Formats: sequence, structure tokens, C-alpha cells
Amino acid sequence: MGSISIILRRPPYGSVDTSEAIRHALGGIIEELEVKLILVDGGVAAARKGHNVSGTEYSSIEEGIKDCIDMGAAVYADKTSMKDHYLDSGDIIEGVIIANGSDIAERISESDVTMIF
Amino acid sequence: MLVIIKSAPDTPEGKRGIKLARDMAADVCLMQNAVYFSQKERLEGFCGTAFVLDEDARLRGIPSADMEKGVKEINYEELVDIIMKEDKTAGVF
Repeated sequence: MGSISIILRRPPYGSVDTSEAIRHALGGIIEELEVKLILVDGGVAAARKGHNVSGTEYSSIEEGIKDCIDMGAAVYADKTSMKDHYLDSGDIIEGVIIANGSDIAERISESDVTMIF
Repeated sequence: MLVIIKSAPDTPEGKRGIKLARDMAADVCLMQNAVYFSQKERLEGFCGTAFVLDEDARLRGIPSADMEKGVKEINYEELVDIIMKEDKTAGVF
């Protein structure tokens, strides 16, 4: 079974990067790859709880992240980026793994393929 | 004067917009990814009025309680009114 690391650097909703990263992660899971979704820099904002999409035509990034976790992807959030973006462990979606830089580097080095959004 | 910003705080564009507004003693309107600027301590030393689009903040899960004191939440209609009243508007950063 192959493995893929998907690195997301952008905050949600401001561009297509986040929804595309989630779409590729779900696709990888369906193809039975081992998927790691790694949130760094502004990407950690995608893991914030409480997205309110009512009245908009956006699909919820929060639900997308939960789907990834439910379907077996490992979702990591970079600890330093969380600090930079004023996010505590209580602010983020349950099941997201808070990791430091060296953990993340290790996860990426284990993967066959890396995609960056 | 009003400066409109849509870029996130960790981007050069976002930082440039805030610096310009600070240098010109202008007000700012934060929309899209710039709504993260409304979080506490992000706008330190900014003296003008900071408006934030409530729909964009809500979408990203940022409640009013997380925002800096003094940040004014507005909707699109109110933004249009503010732009019409201003003598000059610069954006979008």
C-alpha cells in the first residue's frame, strides 16, 4: 500500500487550496493509500472548530477534515503554526494530532509521495 | 481613508495593507482571510478603526469573543456605506 503526505499551507475559504487538499486526501483514502494530511502555517486554521457556512455556498472545511479523520487519514497540525495563529488544543477539531516540526518531517520522509497546497 | 485587506496575517500582502493603514492613520476593513487580523493582539499599535466582515469571520469559526476589543463587525451593505462615505479607499490587499 502506498502512502502520501498532503501539506496544506493556506487558511480555508480564501482560496481553493484547502478544499482541493481535502478532496485529494479523500481520494487517496478511497484508493487505499495511507494518507497524512499535514496542516502548517495558515493551514492550521482549517482545523479550527465552529465553521459557520450557513447562508453561504461554501461546503464546510470543518466537515471535510472530520470526514478525513473518520475515513482513516491521519491529520496533523503543526504546533508552532498553531501558536502563531492563536490556536490552542481546545480550539481544534477532535482527532487532529498536534505535532512538532521534527515529527512532521518524519511523517513526510516516510511517505512515497508529497503534495503541497 | 479606508484600506481593504483580504490576505491572511502571515502573508506579505496582509502585512503591507496593515502597515499602509497604520502609516496613513487610515481605517481598515478586514475580509476573507484577513479576518484573522481581528483576533486579540494581532493589531497591536493600530490606532484607526478596524471593521471586520462578520460573515467571513463566522465562516472561519472566529467568534466575537476572540476578537480584539474595538473591532467593529459589519455586513456587506454597511461596507458599501462606509466606502461611499470615505474620501479615499485603497485595496484590496
